[in-house]
Amino acid sequence: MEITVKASYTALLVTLTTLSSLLADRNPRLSKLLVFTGLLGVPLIFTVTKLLILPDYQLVLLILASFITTLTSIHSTGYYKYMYGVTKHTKLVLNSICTIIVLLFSSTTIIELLVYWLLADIVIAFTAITLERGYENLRVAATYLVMCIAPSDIALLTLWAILAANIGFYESLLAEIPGLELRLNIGPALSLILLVGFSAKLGQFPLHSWPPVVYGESPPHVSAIMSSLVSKIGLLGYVLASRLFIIDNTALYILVIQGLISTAYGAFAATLQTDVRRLLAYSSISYYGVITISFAIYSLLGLSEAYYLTLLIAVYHGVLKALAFMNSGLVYQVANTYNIYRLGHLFYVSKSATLSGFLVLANLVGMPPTAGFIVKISALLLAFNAIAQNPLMIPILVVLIIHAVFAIMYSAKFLSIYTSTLPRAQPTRYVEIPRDELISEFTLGFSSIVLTALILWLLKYTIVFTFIYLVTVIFMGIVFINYYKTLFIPEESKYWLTGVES
Amino acid sequence: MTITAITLLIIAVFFTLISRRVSSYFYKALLKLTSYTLLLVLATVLYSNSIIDTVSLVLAVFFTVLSLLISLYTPLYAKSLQYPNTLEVLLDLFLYSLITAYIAPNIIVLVSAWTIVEILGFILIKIGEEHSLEGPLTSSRGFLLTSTTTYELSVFTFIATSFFAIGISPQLLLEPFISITYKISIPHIVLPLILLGFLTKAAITPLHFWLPSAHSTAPSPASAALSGFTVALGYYGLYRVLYYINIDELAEYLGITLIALGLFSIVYGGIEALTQRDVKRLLAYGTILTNGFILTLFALYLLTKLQVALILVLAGIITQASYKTTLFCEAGLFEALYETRYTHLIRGLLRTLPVSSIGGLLAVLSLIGVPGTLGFIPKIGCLYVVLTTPTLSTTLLVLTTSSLALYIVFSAIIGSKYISLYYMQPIRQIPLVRNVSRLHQSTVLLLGLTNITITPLFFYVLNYSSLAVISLALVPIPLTIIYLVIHVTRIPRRVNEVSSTWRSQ
Repeated sequence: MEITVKASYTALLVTLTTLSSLLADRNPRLSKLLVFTGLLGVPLIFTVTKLLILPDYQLVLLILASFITTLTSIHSTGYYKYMYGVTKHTKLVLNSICTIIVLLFSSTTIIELLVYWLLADIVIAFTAITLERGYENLRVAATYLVMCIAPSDIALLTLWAILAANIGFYESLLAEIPGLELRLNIGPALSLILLVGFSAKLGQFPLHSWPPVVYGESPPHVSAIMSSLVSKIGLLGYVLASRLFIIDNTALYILVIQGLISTAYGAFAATLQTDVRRLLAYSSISYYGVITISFAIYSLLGLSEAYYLTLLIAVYHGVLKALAFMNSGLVYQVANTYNIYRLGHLFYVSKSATLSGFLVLANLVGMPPTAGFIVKISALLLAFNAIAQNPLMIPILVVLIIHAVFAIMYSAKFLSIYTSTLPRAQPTRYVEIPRDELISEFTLGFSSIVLTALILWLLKYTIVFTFIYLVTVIFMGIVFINYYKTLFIPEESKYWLTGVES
Repeated sequence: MTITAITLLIIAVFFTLISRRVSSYFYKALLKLTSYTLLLVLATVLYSNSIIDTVSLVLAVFFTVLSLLISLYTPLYAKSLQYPNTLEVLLDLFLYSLITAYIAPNIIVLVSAWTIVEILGFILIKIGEEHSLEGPLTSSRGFLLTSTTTYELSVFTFIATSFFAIGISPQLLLEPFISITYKISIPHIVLPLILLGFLTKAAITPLHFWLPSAHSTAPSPASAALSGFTVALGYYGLYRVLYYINIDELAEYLGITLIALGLFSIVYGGIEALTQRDVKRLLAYGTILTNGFILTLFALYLLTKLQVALILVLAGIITQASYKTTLFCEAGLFEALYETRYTHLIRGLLRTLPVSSIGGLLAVLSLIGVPGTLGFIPKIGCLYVVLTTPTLSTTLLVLTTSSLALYIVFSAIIGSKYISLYYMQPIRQIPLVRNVSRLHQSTVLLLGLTNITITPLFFYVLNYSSLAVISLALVPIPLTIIYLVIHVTRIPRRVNEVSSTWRSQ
């Protein structure tokens, strides 16, 4: 990796995104174009032309990151324009976080990883979380700082220190990640520090109480980025640790237990929430649990399917939660509350927002042709097939079933903010939703359907799945087209009772 | 050589005494600059003639830079809060004697300068007690009775026991630290007596009780100097005295005791700091917290005798000096602006004190330990030393890591609590009592900038050029964060406050 290529990559990304945010109010169209080229174009060009060579897990996460950050940035334009009138300051903060995360996933040396990791954490804690509510949210920032940043950073710095002790101080800083497969033998204590630290980033069991607080109180776009991307930094930590060191089996069994508890607990707790975003946060904990279990199984049993499954769930969850959190932002924008029991009528407020809400439900339930279907089926199949190898698979299977069943329950609760009641108090006014927000939500929602096709093609699943996929795509297509037509039927502005104007 | 040193010192003091008589701030600043530069020259000359070692040089150089900035801040502070004129000259003399204590080549100069520091410190706290609105009236007495007395007790115990061991001769008192070759064996029972004074000076729990009231009552620049430089004398004195004493057989016990005390200080200081409302008391408990961590590093040095551990102790001391001076001087601006120091009343400093807040934010980021600031070095260095030293026993490993983890957590919570001062609206509007000039604010900004500029210099002075380059490359990180924080505070109020279509409940 030549240093000039990396420097130009970084400079291009930073300049384009910063310019885009500074121009957000003066020239919105140019700003969108700049953020599109900066966050999506630059990483794609550099990876396709092989200027940037990354290991497979990092490449997957990088593409996910640049896709989601671009859409989040575009979505936030509409939201902040509507809420505050001025978007420059908020966009600057959001775009910086997006840039840092993209740079983090494309880092090729350990020092880059260290710097961007710490920078991302601190920028999120002190600027992003306080973006909308100011100092009131510093309490949330302190929670995040103590429960998530401190353990995960200790783990990261431990990783570096072990490396430094073995290959030297400067060599460890400048070591290139792609070719770095040392397989150093570290004891159970250090393995435990590393894995528990990284699992804090994924909100796993002993440190599971921060996601509801942080995702529930931050601005919606920050929650979206944190849930879909920042948590995946923990996954990056897991994989990197397993590439560099031989992780002790005891630590991996502890990781499985953490994952089992978190998956079940997250799924249970999500069904009990009254706040949309706390619901989504607990659901995230549950999904993180599945990611953790899947990674631990890969390291314990050496199943390569489990490794691909881990990446698959990470991508699927990234797309899904970005969509869900942005949609909850939209809910707040039109209804001024996140409380599920005070909503329920939003279908009468915005039919287009309901569509993206439905896509979230379809993904969470695992309805074909969305990616949720293929992910759930693959996880269950993998667990069934591996039962013969290890009895540990039995509790995992049970927990996966709990995860799937409760997902149906809380996703129904999520959709109920749109469709559970008729408007009672007064005739509902139809609210116009900014185009930026709709475009990015629909792109995310339908990309989950495209993702399924991609997975089917890549993993060469049996013909049965392809058949189900094609049939459901055609069926859903017809339904969506009919639904889409109704969006343009003009709303009745007055209500008539028995022929007399009320 | 001695004559040159004394002459330089006298000329420096002379410049300060003149500067008090000059009314124009510009000329005053110029005179102060000259006199502190002379002190820097003195330190460098002593070092290049191999009279003092690197530890003294590093501490003296960075403390001189910080002292100059405090000294520039003081006349403006004294003027706006109507402190007596003597404050300025007393503070300058206090700073001079402090720096002299750090560049002292032998024990007699160290002890004399230190005693002057104690007396002047007492007088400064007394001035604050008589003048300020807040703080208890017994703090100067507490300082004199606890900190000064125990220090004298320890030092004279040390000198007396040394005389018993090597016979009464001026050799012990006059011989430079750098040329000591012998070790004195002392009875074990005397060791606690010798440690007592230095640990009290460093405010290690349970000998900390004099510190919060003394540091919160003194005038802000004096608090800055007391908290930043005087407290570090405890470690410096310990380092010098343990140089003479043969503690090899006791090293393990001593190390574990010190780490345990440090751990206790971290927990106690952290918890107390979280419950404070007065900014200066909060900072004073923060001093106890940080000192606990520095003591851990010091114990690590005693046990491993590694060069890196000593550098970490120095980094810890300089970090503490740099961020504490900034924050205490900033607290002085709150006093001037609002006539209060209560944290729950002060909000939105980025609007009321736009210049100094940047410096304050840098100091807070250093407290939290953001990469690119000074505060990052001791934290990451401690982890590095612990994980790369294979000879460390399990007990020590567990104790050190837990003290590091607790320190990281507590400093992060305190830092994020402190940052709330810079944001948004207060609970109720409090009147702005007087204007704080941009000049006054910019001295605090300069102090704040030392939190990021000292890091590369520190490594450069210690001959680690590559580390200096790396830390220079990390400097944009805190600056980026502050740039973003400033933008966060500029977000307007919501225009579409309520757009709900259904508000019946």
